[in-house]
Amino acid sequence: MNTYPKKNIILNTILAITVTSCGGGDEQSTKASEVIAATPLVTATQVTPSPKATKDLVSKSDFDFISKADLEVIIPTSPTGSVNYFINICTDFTAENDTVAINYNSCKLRTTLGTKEQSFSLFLSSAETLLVAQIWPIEVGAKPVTLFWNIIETGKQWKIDI
Amino acid sequence: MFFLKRVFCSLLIYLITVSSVLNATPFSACPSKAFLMQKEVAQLYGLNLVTGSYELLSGDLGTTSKINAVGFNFHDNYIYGWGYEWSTVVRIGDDYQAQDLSLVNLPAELSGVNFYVGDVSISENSYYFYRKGSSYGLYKVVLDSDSNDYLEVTKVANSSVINLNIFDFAFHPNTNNNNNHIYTVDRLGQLHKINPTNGNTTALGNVGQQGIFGAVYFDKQGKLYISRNNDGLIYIIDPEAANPSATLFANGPISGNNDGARCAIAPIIDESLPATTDYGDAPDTYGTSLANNGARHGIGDIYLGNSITAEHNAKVYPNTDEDDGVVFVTPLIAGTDSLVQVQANGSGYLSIWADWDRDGQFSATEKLVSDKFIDNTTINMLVNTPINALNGFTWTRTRFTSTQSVTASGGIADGEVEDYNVFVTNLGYSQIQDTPYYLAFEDNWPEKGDYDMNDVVIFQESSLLVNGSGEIKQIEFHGELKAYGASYQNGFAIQLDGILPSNVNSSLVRFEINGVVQETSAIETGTDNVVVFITDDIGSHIQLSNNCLYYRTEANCTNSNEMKFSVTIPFINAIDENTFPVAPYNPFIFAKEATYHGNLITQPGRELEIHLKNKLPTSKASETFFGQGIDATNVSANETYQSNSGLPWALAISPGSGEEWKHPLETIEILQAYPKFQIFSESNGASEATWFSLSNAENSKLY
Repeated sequence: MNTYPKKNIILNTILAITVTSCGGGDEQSTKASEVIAATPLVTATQVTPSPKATKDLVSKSDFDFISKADLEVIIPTSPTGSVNYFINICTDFTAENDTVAINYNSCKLRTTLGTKEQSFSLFLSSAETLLVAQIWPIEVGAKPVTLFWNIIETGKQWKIDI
Repeated sequence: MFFLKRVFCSLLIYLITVSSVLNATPFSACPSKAFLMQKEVAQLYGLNLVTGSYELLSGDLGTTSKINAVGFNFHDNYIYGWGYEWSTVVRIGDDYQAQDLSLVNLPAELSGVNFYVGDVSISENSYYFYRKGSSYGLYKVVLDSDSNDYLEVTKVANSSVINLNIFDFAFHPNTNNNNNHIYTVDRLGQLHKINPTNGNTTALGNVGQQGIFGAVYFDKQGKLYISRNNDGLIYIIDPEAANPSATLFANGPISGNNDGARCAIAPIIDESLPATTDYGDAPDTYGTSLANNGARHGIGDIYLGNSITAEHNAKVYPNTDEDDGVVFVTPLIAGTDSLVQVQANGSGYLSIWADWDRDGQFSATEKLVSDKFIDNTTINMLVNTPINALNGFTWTRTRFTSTQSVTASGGIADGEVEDYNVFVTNLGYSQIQDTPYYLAFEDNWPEKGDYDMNDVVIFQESSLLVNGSGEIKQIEFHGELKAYGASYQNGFAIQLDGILPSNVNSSLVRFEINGVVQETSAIETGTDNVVVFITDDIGSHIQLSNNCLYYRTEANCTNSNEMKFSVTIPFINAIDENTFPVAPYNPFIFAKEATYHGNLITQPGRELEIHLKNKLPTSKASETFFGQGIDATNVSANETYQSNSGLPWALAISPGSGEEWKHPLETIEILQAYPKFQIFSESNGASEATWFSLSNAENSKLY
C-alpha cells in the first residue's frame, strides 16, 4: 500500500504555494492554478486524562455521536467534446515542489465531465477539511489541472471552474 | 640435479593437486537450489526453481570436457555425474572440482562410452545412469564407501527392458507411498516411471509438452520439474495425479547442453536464507502463492515504483504487500480509454491483466496491456477496458520484466509483480466513495458495558455507483475486522434503511470473505429492508494467538490472521440519491443463535441487535429487549440503543481517508483513552469533533 506524509506537511506546503481567498455567499469557486489558503488544523495537544468515568457522561437523546462534514461539489462541463475529461476529488495528498501526489484510494468522487454541470453531495470526516481536485484529459500525453479546497476557509459548496 | 629438482617440483604440485581433489569437502547442506550443468566444457550453475533465476557457481570444474547425467547425493552431500574427459563417474564437492572415480567391474560395452542420463537414488546411496541403445541399458554404481561393493557397477536392465528416448531422470524423494522410483519425460511428452530394481517402465500419460528436457528435478513434496533446453521453460508436474500435466512454472536458462541435479529432500524455498523473490498479493484464486504457482520475480534492478519487497512466499489477500509502481489515475471505464500511470525502474516489458468478469481468475484474454516496453521512466498510458467488464471493484495484476510474453502466473528471473484492486465503471457514471468508518461496539446491550469499545471493531468502507441521472445503481462494501474483544459470540450485518430487498439484483450480488467468494447470500431473507448479512459468528473467522483471550485488544497480542469482506449489491431499479441512506448506513452486531449472551437475556440469538445510537432495528429484532437493563430505547421517537443518559453502545468514527483510528486496550474506557470524548459527548458534538485523532489520545492506552 502506498504511504503518504501527514497532513501538516501538506498544509504547510500549500500555504507556501499560493494564497487566494474567496469571499461572499455560500457558493464559491476556484479556477485552475488557484489554491486555497489553509490554516493548520490539528496540532499536538497536551492530553489530560478525564477524571470522569464514561458511564457518567450525559448527552442529548437525539445526538448520534457521529461527527462528519458535508460538501456540495459542482462539477463543470467538459471543455471539449472531442476528448473525455475525468475528475478525481480526493482528501489524502501531498503537494511538494509543484508536484501533487494523490492517494487515489482517498478519492470521494471520481467522474467524467459531461455536457452539463453536475452536483454531488459528499460526506467527509470532520478531520477532512482539505481537498484536491485533479482533472485529466483522457489522451496521450495527458497533463492534469489541479485545484485545492479548504472547507473551513472557503465553505461547504465548491464550484469548480476550468 | 636441475632435472631432479623439476621432477620434485612437478611431483609436489601433483600431490598438492591430487590431495586437494581427494580432500574436497562435501557441500555443507542439502541445498534448496538446483544445480544445472551446462556447456561443452562443463560449467556449473545454481538455479532458483522458484523464479528461474540462476548464477554461475563455477566456470572451471577441473575438466576440459562435458559433465552430464548429474545427481545430488543427499547421503554424502556430493554431486555425482559422468565426466566425458575420463568416461567415468565423477564426484564434485564444495570446491567445484570434478574428481574421476575408478569404477569396479565396468562392463566391457561401457569402455569409452559416455552418459547423459543419471541421478542418485534417495533410498540406497547408489548412482544410476542410463543410455538408450541395443548394447546398453540401465546401470548403477554403489556410492557407499563403507560397502564392499563400493564403486562396483551393476547392469540393472538391458535395452529389451528399458528403451526410452530421454535426456535426464530423477528419483522421487520417497515422501509418499514409499515411492523410490525414477521419473522422466521423453521427447514426445510421455511421463515414465522406472523401477530401479529391474528397469521396468510404466507410461503415466502425456504431460502436454514436447522437447528435450535435459534437466529433471524433484522437490520435497514430490513435484517433478522438467526444464526444456531450447527455451529454458521449466514445467511442474504432479506425477501422482490421475492425469499428470505440465504447467509452466518458471522461465529458466536456455542451453543446448543441459543437465540438472537437486537434493530432492529439500524444499525449493530455504527460509533460513534472506528472501529474494517478489510476489503479488491478490487472492489465491488468481495464482498468487507458490503452492498455486503464483506470479513471482527474482528481485534485482528491474522493478516498479520506488522500491521492491522480497518475500519467501506471497502475502496473499487479506494480507498485503507494499506496491507503489502503478497508479490508476481514473477508474477503468468500460468501453473506452482510461489513464494509468506506471513508474518503471530499469528496462522491461509491462503487462497488465484485469479480471473483467470477476470470476477470480486472470484468463489469457483478460489483458489490459501486453508487452509494452518501458525504459526506466514514468509514463501515463491510455488503456482500453472492454465494454462487457462488470462494474465494481476487481483485481488487476501488473508484471514488469525483461522477459516478453509472460503469463499471469509463474516465476520470472527478474522484475516485479504488483496486484491492485481497481474500480470498473461505465462512461457517464460516477463513483462516490463514502468516508470510511471505524465501527466500535460494546456487546453488553442492554446492560452497561465496560466502555472499552473494542468488543467488535470493524473498519467499513463503502462506494456508490451513480448513473448520469444521479441515481444509485450499486453499492459496494469493504470491511476489515480490527478487533474482537468480545466474550460473547456476535454476528455482523448492515441494514440499508428504506431500501427494499426486492430491488436487489440478487443474481449479481457478489460476496467475498478474505477474497473467497461465499456460497451463502449476503442478503438476509425475511427482512423489511435490505440487510447485508456478513456473518453470524465473527469469531469463527479469526484465530487467537497463544495466551491471548481476545483478538487485537490486549498488549503484546498481535494476530497475523485477518478477516476482510466485500459485498457488491446492484439494484434492479436505480434509486434516487435523496432517498438513499448515507454512510455509515446502519451497521449492527447481533447475538449468535443458541449462544450465551449475558445473564439478563441469556440466549437471545438473532433477535438481539446492537446498533449505532438512534439507528433503527431490523424487522428481525425483538422489541421485547428494549427498556431492559439500562436501555432507554423509544422506537417511535427514533431514540434507540441509548442509555438513560444518552450514551450509545456503538460508535462510528471517521478519522478520514488514509488516517487510522486506534481502539482502547482491553478494559480501558474510551474516555480514558480519548479524554476529549467527554467534551464531544457533553457538547453533543458541538466541540471536539476530532476527539478520536491520535493527537488527542492517551497513546499508552491504545491497542
